[in-house]
Amino acid sequence: MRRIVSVFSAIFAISAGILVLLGYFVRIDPLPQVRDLLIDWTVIIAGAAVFVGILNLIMVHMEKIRTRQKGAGYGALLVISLFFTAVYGVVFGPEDPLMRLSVDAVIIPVEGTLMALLAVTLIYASIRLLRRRVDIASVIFLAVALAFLIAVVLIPIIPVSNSFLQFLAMFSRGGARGLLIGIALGTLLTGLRVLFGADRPYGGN
Amino acid sequence: MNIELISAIVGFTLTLLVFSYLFGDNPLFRFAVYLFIGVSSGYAAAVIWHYVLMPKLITPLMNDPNRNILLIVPLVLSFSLLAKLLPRISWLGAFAMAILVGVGAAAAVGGALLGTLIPQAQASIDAFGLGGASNPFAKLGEAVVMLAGTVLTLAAFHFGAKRAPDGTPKRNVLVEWVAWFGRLFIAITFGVLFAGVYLAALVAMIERLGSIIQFILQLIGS
Amino acid sequence: MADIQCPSCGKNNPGFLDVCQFCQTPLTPDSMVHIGDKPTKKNTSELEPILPEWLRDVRQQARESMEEGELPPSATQPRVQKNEAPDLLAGLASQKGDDEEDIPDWLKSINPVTKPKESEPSTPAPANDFFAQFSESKAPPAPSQSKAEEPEEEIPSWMSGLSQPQEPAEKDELSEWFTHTSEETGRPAPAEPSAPAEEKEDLSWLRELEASAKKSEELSAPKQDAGWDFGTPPASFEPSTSQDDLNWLNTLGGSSESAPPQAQEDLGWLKDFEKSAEQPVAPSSAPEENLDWLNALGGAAEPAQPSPESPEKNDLRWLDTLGGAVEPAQPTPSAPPAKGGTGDLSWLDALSETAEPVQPASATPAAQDDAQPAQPEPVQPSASNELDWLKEFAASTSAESTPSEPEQAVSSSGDLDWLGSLGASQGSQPEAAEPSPQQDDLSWLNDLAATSAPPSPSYAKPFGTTDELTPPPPPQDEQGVPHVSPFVPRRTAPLGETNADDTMPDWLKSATEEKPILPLGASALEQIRETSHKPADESTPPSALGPAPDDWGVFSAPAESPALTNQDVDSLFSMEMPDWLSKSQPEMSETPGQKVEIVSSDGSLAPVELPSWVQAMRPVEAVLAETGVSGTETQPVEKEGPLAGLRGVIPFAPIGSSRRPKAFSLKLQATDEQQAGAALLDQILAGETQPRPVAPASAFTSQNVLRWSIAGLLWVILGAILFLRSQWMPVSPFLPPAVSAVSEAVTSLPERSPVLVVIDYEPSLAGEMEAVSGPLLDQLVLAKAPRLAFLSTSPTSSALVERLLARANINKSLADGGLDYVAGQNYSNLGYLPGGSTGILGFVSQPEKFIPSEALQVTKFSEYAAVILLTDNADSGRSWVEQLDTAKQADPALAAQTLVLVTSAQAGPLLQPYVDSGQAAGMINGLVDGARYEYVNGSRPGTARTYWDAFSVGIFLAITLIVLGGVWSLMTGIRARRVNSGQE
Repeated sequence: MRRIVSVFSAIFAISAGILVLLGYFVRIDPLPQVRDLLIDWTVIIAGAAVFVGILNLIMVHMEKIRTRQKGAGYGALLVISLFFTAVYGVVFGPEDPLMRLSVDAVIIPVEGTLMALLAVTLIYASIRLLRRRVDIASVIFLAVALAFLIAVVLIPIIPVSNSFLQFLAMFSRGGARGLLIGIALGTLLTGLRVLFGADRPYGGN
Repeated sequence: MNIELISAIVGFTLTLLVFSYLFGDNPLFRFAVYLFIGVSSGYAAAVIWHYVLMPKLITPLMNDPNRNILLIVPLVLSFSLLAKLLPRISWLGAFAMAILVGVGAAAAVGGALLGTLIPQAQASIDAFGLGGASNPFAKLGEAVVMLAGTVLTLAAFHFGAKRAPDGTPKRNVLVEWVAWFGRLFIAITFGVLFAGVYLAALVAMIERLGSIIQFILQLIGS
Repeated sequence: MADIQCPSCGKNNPGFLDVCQFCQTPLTPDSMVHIGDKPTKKNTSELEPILPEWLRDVRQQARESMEEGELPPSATQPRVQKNEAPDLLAGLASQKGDDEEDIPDWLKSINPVTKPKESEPSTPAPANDFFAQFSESKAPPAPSQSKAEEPEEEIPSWMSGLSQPQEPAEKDELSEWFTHTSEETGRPAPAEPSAPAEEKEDLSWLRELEASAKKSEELSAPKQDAGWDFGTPPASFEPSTSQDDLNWLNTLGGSSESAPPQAQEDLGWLKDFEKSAEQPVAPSSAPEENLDWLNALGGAAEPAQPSPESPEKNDLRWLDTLGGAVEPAQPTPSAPPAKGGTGDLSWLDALSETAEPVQPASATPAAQDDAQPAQPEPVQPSASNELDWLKEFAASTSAESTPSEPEQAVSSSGDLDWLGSLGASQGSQPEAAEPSPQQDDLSWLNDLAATSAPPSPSYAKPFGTTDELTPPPPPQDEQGVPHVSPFVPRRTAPLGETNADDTMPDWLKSATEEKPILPLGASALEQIRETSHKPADESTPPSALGPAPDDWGVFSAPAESPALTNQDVDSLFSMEMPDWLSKSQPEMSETPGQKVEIVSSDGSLAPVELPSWVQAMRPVEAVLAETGVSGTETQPVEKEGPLAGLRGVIPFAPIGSSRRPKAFSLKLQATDEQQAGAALLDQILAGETQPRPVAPASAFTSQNVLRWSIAGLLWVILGAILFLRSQWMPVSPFLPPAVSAVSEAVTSLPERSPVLVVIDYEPSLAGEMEAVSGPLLDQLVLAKAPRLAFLSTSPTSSALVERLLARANINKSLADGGLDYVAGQNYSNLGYLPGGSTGILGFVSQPEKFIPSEALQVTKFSEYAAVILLTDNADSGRSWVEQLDTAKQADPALAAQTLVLVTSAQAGPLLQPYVDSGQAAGMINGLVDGARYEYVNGSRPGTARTYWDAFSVGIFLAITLIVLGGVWSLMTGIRARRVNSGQE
């Protein structure tokens, strides 16, 4: 049975992928309709996947609580907060004031603070960088970062720094384009491997 | 006590709890983080229910099932994803995952090819178009630098090598030099990115500090 | 009458006694039988009453058969046709009819594997898998001579271990066990009251014979011989079925490897004995051939002289291979007669010790089935090879002539001591013929060959009924009286059919046949002991048996094991009985006092027909012949013990073979290099387990202090700036081209056109994104009053719409300084779009289908005048740009659609190429651009400006800290590296 599922899942993935990919280039009916239908289904399934992921999170922490593992209390806090938020949100909708309260009072402060901690960490890491590693790449990396920061600050004060910033950005854009092309190539290769069935991350082995 | 004040108090408290991480991992930090994960997950569930499942799946099937009979397929596939929660029958979710991966791969391939590779390659070529440029040399230099940066950066990720007589892999000398310069471009790019990350984090810290100060001032003022 | 001093014990005996009343040594020359003397028939009819009933029947049958004139088979008959001691296998013969049924499964499964038996090429009968298993898998089918030439070093370790003497404790246990078994047989020892348990009926008659001949109880010594009892099956081994027998064999064989080694040294004297006694027989070929197996077994090769192939050669070839390499084989073969009088003959000790287990209980059929009945009465001393009794006996008998030494030697050997006693008993009936000393040594052997070789293998047949176990054709005399073995009286009917005319007494046949069996039986001694208390389990798994059980089946209980083919059995017991032995029984009963005729019928030696047990001693004599030991004149004369009077019996050389198998040490032999490597490995492992010095707490402190310092500086300085709400830091009025393009794009938008605002950032960067996008949205709303549609690609981002609009003062009322944008009218939150690139692709293709909401405000994506992408993630931003650009390429209506990027500072550099390529109209990257844009936008909404001072200070602070800290780290790093390099 699993073998059959594996084969058919691969067939589904490849056929659906090819249909969607053909939709980029071929606009002959009913191919666009089929592609839109597949994409619609995929969006729904993707939403359900997020839902399932949340359910999995609940199950994991429930198991943690049941087995009284370390940190079960925090798990209970997570499950309780998740349960009440989800239930309330499902019932009253995410636009409910209490739901906004949860975002403004919990989500944004915590996430924002975590991001703020990153500023401290980055400075600390920059300081420690030359202690750990001193090579041309590290020096250039740190020097460019410092130059960028200096230019940003000095732009209002020293207008020439804007030209320096543009000059520096010229190199960074070149590198960024190379990175983007490289990322695109990697994405292309990976996607084609999936479409050819070489990679089956959906469990088709 | 209005809801905004509660929001401010809770946000202030949680901000302090998370900042306590500077003193190391502690229960206060964990409390804030676990609460954040629970609330954000619950909110995400509510959002998905209200913005995805209800309008796109449940409501159409309940309102006009005959017309939306095909929605049974995603419905079944969505339920099959629940099998992923149980290892013994997780294989049942393979079809849904296959649809997700296959369509996602096709979308990524099409977008990467048509949205990045071709446009960026074309842009690298167009950069040498000096027509209408007020400073052709500057534009030419910029085009050369960007093209060099693009090529050298790509070359830096070229790991093809031949086997040396001693058995160690060794890249071609020319490729090695090109890759070295490519790494310089990458270092520059990452330096800029690092600065950008710091700037983003710095703004986040400013925002948090501003919220704290505002809350304190609000408390003082009230 | 004057007293006669016993030549053996030196004690005085009344003159009317023929044998010493103390040591049973014959006191008169007439009462002594000498080797070479023509055996005279002795009428032992007076002893009949004391014989067991079954023996009397046998004897009567033998007499009747002789009277019928049935002649024994020709001496030139192939060995396979010999009729050898059928009673040995009487139990098997009785199973002839149902052998196939009795063959256990494990044996059947073994058969196909062991079919190709190379050790018995000349055997007409199908090879016994049972034996082939040894010869093929463990014993190289090398020629016997080649094996005989193998040096001692090649002796397997297990053989070397075999030479170790058996521990007395084990003997005692075994003795007790066998005694118990014997008792269970229900047959009391008739003649030896001192050892009733040991001497069962099967052998008691022999003892009675001796007792009658010697009229003394000198042979009480053998009672202590536990070894003879080894063959006695335990009580648990009394199943009557053949399967039971096989189980017993299985059990035995399963532990045959672990059988304790047998002492060799004790019988070392026997080698010299053979040197002196059997040397004349050395030229004979048949014995040499027969001894090949012993050579191979013992590992100590005997340089057997090449000789013409005898019928017996092939019969024993399997034993060559057996002993050559079969480890589980019985250990006794490891001690065959060695060259140069080494203690190789000690294997005979093992024979004496191990063969005894084969000896069955008296007359109990079950016991006989289980045990090898071939062994005669336990005349042998204790398993420690105390053959003093035999020496004494020899002393008493050899007083007259040394030619009797061979015979005495044979009998004095642990295995053949019964023969010694037989000789003693028969010696009282010597015939007149006195061959020369040399001839005397061998004449009896001639007789043996003449009488025992012809018999067909009567028991070769009954072993199996399957193809492989199918016995050879039945003997010629099947119609004859069953030849009942004294040890298997109840199962001798088939055998008796095959050899009714065999004049060889059963006991003698069994005795002679037992010789090769005994050694291997010793290996199972321990197993017997261990399993003695276990009931014979018919369902014993074959896997637990292994090849060893086969050995046992071969050597210890051939008559019981249906796995044995006729061929194998024939090879096992391919011994030819001398005439004087085979014919003596009827003669003895008829002509008492007649001396045994040692000379063969044709008056010449027939070494080819020597029994295998004699051949087993051939190597010694062969070596003696080669080494030039001509006679026994130079040898010392034994003065005590059963060998008293014999010359050259005890070797000069210390007992114990210099060729004894090398003892392999179990200690690890490691070279210095290996030991050095091991030490290095040990050192490495020790280093891994050694606790490494923990980083000093100061390091942690310095790191924490540094982290706290950084955080403190940021908090204090930035907090102070925010608290002071300072705006003294200038904002550059210069807009980068990408930012200027955004402003231009906004101004180019049609009024009140729908604009899609994608919220693609997380709440963590909401502050930055709100500050950066605020001026743009404010400009857009103020200038164009578009219908904003907010769509988020992150679940939590959908909650940021209201916040964003609030921070930008868009959704606030005009009274509050806002733009009075109302949800549902001027803007709408489309919610969350899942699926990443797929969702974007679908939404771009059919927005109304993917966002089934009236808030969509459009039916086609192209209706959106502009798409403002607010993103903090380069990947998601790239997906939007890619899909939008792809849609533009496919739908010309989207060509005019403006894409504006509002990015976080962390995502801007990677999305900048899209702006450079024209895929995006413009981009506002981070607060730097946002502050400028806000400044250009008239400082509306002012959020960026609020942050700008703190932002600038924070950048300065970061630059300062990074520079100072970097220099400090560089210095400390260099110092640390120098320290490390200096330490190294």
